Amino acid sequence: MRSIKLSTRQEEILTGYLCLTPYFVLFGVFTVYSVINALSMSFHEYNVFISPIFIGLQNYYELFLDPLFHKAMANTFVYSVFTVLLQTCIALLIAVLLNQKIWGKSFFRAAFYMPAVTPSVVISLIFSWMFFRDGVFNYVLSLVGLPSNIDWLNNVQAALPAVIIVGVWSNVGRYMLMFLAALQDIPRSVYEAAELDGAKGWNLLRFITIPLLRPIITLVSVLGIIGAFQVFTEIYIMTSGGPLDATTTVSYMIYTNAFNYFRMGYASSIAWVLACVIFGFSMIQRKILDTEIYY
Amino acid sequence: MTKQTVRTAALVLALVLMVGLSVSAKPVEIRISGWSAGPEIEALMRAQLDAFEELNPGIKVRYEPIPVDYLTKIQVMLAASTAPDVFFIDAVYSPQFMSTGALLPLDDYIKNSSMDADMFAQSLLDAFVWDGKIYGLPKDSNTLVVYYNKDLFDANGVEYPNANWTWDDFENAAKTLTNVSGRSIDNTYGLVLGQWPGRWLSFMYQNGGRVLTEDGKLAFTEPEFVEAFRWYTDLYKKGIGVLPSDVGASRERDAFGQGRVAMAVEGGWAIPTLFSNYPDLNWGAAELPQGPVGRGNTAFTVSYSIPKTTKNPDAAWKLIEYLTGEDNQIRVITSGHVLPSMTALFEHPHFADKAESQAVLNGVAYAVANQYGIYSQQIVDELQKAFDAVVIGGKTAEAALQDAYKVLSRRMR
Repeated sequence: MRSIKLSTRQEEILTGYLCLTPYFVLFGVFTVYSVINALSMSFHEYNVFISPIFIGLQNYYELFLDPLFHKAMANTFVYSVFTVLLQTCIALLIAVLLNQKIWGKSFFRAAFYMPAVTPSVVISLIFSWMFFRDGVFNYVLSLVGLPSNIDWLNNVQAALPAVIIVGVWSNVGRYMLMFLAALQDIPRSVYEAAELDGAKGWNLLRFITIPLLRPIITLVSVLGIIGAFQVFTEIYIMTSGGPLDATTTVSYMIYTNAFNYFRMGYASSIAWVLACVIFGFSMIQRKILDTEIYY
Repeated sequence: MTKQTVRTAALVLALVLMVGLSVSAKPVEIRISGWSAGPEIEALMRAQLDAFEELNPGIKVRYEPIPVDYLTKIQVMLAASTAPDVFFIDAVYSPQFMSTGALLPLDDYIKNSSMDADMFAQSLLDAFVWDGKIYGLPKDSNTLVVYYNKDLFDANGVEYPNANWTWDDFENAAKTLTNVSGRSIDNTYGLVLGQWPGRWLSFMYQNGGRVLTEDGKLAFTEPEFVEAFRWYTDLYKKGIGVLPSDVGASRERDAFGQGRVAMAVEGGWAIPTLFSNYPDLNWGAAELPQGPVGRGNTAFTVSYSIPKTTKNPDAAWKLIEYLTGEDNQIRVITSGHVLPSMTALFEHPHFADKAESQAVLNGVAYAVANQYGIYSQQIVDELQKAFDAVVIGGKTAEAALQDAYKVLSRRMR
């Protein structure tokens, strides 16, 4: 028998793949397999108890005519656009501020990161109390003389903004950390060179920091979009999609159809449409934001 | 036959006997699941199962409470054939289980037991009957009652509610009890309204309204229903009824417990909450008022059911027979605030000095199950949206119900 002799490089490659195996097994079972299974299920009517019945494209046909799906799509878009814009800007701002030599820097960094390690169920519950008619938000509004008799989570206009506020608040910390890490990587020399050319304050941010952070801004906004399109916990805990479907997002609609109405096939078809939309958006975003920068 | 052979034969025989005995003595293990409603309820369930095991040495019961997402988990387990041998099913979604053949019919077991289906209250048992077959036995009972804050009633000089109250008495009391002259935080209202249809459909029944016809068609656009729905939602428009969130509470019982509303329409499940969370509150409970057509109420219950996939149907039935049996129900009702599902036990001396429990039990006789056909959950969701559309969205009662009708009739094709 001939023993197999591997070169060092081959050995490294083998070790690498071996180390990746556990991840790929889990990824295969819980992602690849599930996703493909969902695709096949989306062509069936399946209520868990009776074996699936093939119905072709009927689920998709129903979906495109379903007014609730249109509403859920619109809500998801509004939610995603506002959360991603707000959370990216605020996270960047906080990161830039906390990158200065200021007093209590580590405290603030930890404090802003707290929401990222707090379970979103807890956040959602506490916020839903704060949004009551007698709650903190209305109290603050009353202090500055704004209309303050809003029952946020039962108000068709205010419910989605309320959910957006919670989404932004709980995500800012995570993205701030990513921006902070990226800020550390910008060489001092670039700033020094710019300062020699007479650039100050805002211009440094505008012409040095933001362009050099572009790859990380792309990453943060793509991750943000993907997360925002799938928003679920806040909706589930705070509004259950109400009032009057004002906060029904696509992922919440998937949940109610699958697990409350026992319509696994229909839910799968919604899930697939959502996945395609997210994929498309991420692609467009990369095209727009991900151009190479040379300095 | 030599001595040797005899000895060998004896040994073999002994061995066979030992193996045989140990096999037959090995207890059957079954599993039971329910949602977890707190440590007291779990402890109570464990105590019942211990007692059952003592009576049935051949059966071991494993209790697997499911803390969250009960329905989701049960569905997944049923699909994977790993469902527990006995589990809870809420009346509101039992048709989805019964109509698809996921459950074992219990009729033959009931026939061969000491039990009789008639021993259970009709409105409770009805929730678990499909095509004439019984798919579960009701665990306990609940109906809606009017909880009233005695201090607020006294302060406003209003007579306490009683079983003979009419809609007018109810509305007039709510009007007198509404006090909105001060700061918003000090305002008190006559009544807290629940958004969930389970809380308000009873009033539609009191006017002769119904959700479905006998053959399962949507009936909530009939004039009796619409009229009652308008009356009920008008309580909000007139400012004498509020939503829990209007007074800074997430549930009706909390709005009531915090003394912000004089009355709440809630089920018997609010009794323990009021005792434990609001011990200083001075309250009582009365039957729902009578509507123009008469009495009406909604029965809330949960069954013990057996999935078709079980490997131990006999042991599972034994457990259900024990849990829903009279002896066990007596033990449960005397140990807490659970109400029995057997009509004979409604008169149990334990309730003699508990007017609030009596009010809940009285409702069982004229209640209908909280269940609306195989589209039960979708109907409940759309009716809640209709309520929101009127109360929050300012639609008329007719238009809101018509919208719900349109959405549902398209889905129920």
